[in-house]
Amino acid sequence: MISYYDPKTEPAANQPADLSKDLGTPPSKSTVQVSVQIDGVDIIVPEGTSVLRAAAIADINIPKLCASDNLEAFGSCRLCAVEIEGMRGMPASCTTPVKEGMKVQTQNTKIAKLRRNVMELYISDHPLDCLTCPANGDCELQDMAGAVGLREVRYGFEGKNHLDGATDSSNPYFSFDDSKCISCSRCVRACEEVQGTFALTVEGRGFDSRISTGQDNNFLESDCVSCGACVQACPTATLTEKSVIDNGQPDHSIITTCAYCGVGCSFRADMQGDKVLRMVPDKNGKANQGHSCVKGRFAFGYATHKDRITSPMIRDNIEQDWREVSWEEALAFAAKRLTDIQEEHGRNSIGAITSSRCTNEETYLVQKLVRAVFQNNNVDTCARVCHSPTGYGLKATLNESAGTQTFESVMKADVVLIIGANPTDAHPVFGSLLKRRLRQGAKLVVADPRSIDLIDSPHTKAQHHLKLRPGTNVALINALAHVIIDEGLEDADFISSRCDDASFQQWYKHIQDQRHSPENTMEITGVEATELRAAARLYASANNGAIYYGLGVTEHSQGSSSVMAIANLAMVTGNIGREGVGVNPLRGQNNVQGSCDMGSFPHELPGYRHVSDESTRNLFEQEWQVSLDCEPGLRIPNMFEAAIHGDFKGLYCQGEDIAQSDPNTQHVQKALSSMKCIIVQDIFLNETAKYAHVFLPGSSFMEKNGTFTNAERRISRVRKLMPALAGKEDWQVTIALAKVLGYEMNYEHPSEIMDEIARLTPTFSGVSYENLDKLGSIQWPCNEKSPLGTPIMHTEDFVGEKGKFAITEYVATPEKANKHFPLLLTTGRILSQYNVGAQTRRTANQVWHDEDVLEIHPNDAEDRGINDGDWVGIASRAGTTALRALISQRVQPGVVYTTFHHPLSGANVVTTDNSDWATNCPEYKVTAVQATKVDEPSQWQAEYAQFSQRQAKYLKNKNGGQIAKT
Amino acid sequence: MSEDRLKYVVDMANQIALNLLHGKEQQQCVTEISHHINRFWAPSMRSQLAEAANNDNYQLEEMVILALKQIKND
Ligand code: SF4
Ligand code: SF4
Ligand code: SF4
Ligand code: FES
Repeated sequence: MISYYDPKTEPAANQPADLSKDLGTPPSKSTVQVSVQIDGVDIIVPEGTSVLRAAAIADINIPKLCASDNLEAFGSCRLCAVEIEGMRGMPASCTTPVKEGMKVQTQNTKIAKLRRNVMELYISDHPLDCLTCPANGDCELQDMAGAVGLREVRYGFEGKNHLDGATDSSNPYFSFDDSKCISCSRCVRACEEVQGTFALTVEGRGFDSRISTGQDNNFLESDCVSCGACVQACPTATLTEKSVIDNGQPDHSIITTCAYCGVGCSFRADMQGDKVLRMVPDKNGKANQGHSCVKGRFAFGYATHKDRITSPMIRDNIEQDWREVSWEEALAFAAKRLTDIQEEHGRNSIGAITSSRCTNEETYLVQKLVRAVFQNNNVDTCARVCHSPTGYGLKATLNESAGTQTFESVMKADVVLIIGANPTDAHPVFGSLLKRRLRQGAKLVVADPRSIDLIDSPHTKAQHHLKLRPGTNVALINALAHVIIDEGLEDADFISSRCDDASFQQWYKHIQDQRHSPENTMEITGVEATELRAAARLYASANNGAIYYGLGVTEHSQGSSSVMAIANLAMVTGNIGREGVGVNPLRGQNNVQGSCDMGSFPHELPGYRHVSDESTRNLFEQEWQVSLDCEPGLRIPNMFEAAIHGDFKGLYCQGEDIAQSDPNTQHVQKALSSMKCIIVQDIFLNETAKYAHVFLPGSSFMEKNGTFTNAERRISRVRKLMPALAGKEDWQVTIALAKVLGYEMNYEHPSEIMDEIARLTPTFSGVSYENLDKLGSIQWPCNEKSPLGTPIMHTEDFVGEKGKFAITEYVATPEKANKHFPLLLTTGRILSQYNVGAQTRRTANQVWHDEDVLEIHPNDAEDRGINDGDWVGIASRAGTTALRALISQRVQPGVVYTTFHHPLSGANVVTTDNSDWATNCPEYKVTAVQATKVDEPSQWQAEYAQFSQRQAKYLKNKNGGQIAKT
Repeated sequence: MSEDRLKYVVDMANQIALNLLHGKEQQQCVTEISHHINRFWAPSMRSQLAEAANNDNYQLEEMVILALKQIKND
């Protein structure tokens, strides 16, 4: 008897599972094995497996139409009929579970006839335009007609049919052609089960049943979030990508990784030559398991947008036309300026900023350039302004600067505590997975000043919404911990065996003080004590309690304290070190984790080792053949401060738009304007580039090889899909800059950079492109101890040590509402746009969000005479901007909210330079403001619009006839 | 040295102290403050802090003043 390996349930020891084949129904989780015989072949599978799946595992492929292995079986098409010994009729194999000793026949004349009849009925109500159909060659209906040997359709097309069904083309990326729909409901189930949005229904019954987006809606106006799950699920051409309709079927595919958020979804890029036709989420991708969101799935057109700048440019000052020059000239110009600055202002007068949008290899090279060539440690990353408190707080408590789990782990969580994160907008694929777990019965607690979608969405409701005041996270988390201690809900065994006793005793004494009780913190947080106590009990008494948090935790003056308080909470309840639990930072950008791992912070070499550590420095000194500075360098805000005061003069900025994304825009603009040489390497002339003297054209994720590391510490390959439009990939540009500065970096391929990282970084020693290709992806640490990587951290110890409790006292932010600025502004992001919007604003995603608006509570709006859509001036002590009002109950009275995806919105003109005490991560989430009805843009907006117009003119004049491109 | 600039480091140091001074003996608190500043601040910022400490216009938290001895300044 052969025991068949079911890839989804039993990953083999050294092999990644290949999930590409659709096995028809989801795997059974049963541990009981049963043996069955299908077409004479003996098979052992877990109890509860469908006959269809068991057969497919043995490569006996039963025809199917309404079934797919990412959806619960529905049994509507009847194409998968089989005969089972001892059972009457011909049951559908997709809805029939195997039983011990079952004997199944999948092929005989009777079955074949039934299947042909089924297909005949389908085809008699389906346009026979296969040769001109966009799905020709990629259509399950067509395949099944072939598989069952359909040769004629006896019924003709004269009777009642759906052939004149309308086409809904409202969605910018896909269309719905009703005439081709076979009502299999795979789309409806995909929307419910995979995405969790419930935007589609089957309307009508029997022959009249049709797929609907709800009452009188088209796709665009419906609840659809354009994730693409239904398009992927559709076995016909009904739901098809417009890019396929326009261009035809792909000729080859390449697996790569999404360049947007920290979920790090794996995609199959379907290509025609070197043109990307569509991105299809990869079923083998462990982070996303075949799911996607609108950004990764559809919003990739920016990579070939007409705004791409593909030639290097230079200018002497920022009020001059750009001059398009050769790479050699641009690099020589940049090198001369940097060298002159260092000669005049000293070694520490220049630095660099890496980006979490770049690959690990690129960020590694930038920090190497700074340390080995600039000879200082003035390197920082945009993680400074998002998750630097995570790096600090988790290192201080759990001894490693990283999240503890896989995303999949949430499927074992019983209670999920979300603090300051909005997964359905910012981490949508994780949001969908979480919703699936909630529909299975897990409980949800949300701590957020605003009502996020998860609190009340179809079939998921939060048990508790702790609607705290912005800036009071630490008081709230301390109160949760206080209840746990107060009510004896701590996990004493875990604490005594896994945690440092001295730190626990000190913390225990601190946290049990009555000032941390919910009753006493209620004044601070605004959260009812009874609600908070109930939430604490729910989390602490769960078998598995998991915490997920985002920028609503980190981007505060106490961001690091909040992260440590979260770690305390997980340790005191023993919710660390196994599936279903953990501390999970939801990283904003695709490679936040990676850019931090790669030594992009000014105090750390790769692998989070401090620059003062002599043995680590020696290791790098030997490899790089230079001596290294043992003192920390400047962080981004410190660079700005130094620039304004005249001793930071040169900046190399790769892939990061500090002029738009950093707080207190006018302060940033002043700093940028004070520098003598700003080198921007980017794919577009971004806001920072408007202040630059050298523009080095960058390459999008489609134009290069490399790796990204997602929020689960999962390292995934980015694969080159097309040649670099500018002729050089980003890593090559850094190498070329180093060379003109007199330092050779000898790499032929990014894999060699990764080999160097692995040689020098113990947590990466087992990582190589070869292993990544073999395993699909790897979660670090990956070394001799864990050659296949580490899905769950801290299963036995905290990186060889005990977990340390940290004292986290609530210290109120100095940013308080007062009579001049009576409202608190908090910022966030939206599903369809991504961060500064440089990418998504250059896609059809604009249709969902073409301007940032100010959400304001009806009471606050009424007090100010503000109506929906009115222009509202928002003033803080840092600056003033104007946005249109959106009156919303999502925000509480006294709180206003906006996003920062559009440069002219100037959301960061208003945010201040308050920052986290430990890391200088800006306090984006709390700004005291006043909102008043206005009828024109703010002065900053008017001036910036003029500045941008001038910069556009300087760009337009870039050829100027002065220097020819070589 | 511009006053703004010294205020910047003074505010940062005071903020660190305010966040580290709870639930601990004075010595532990002083050590944690100096350790933090030595570990994360560039030398130029540490010298600015030293300069501010000698300038009556700036008010450093008591714990920061105590920590100054252990903060590197070269
Ligand atoms: S695109 Fe996604 S959200 Fe929209 S209908 Fe399809 S499955 Fe549902
Ligand atoms: S649109 Fe596609 S998936 Fe949905 S019912 Fe019709 S054929 Fe099936
Ligand atoms: S969830 Fe994130 S990584 Fe996945 S497709 Fe969307 S943006 Fe890309
Ligand atoms: S595939 Fe089984 S009934 Fe449709």
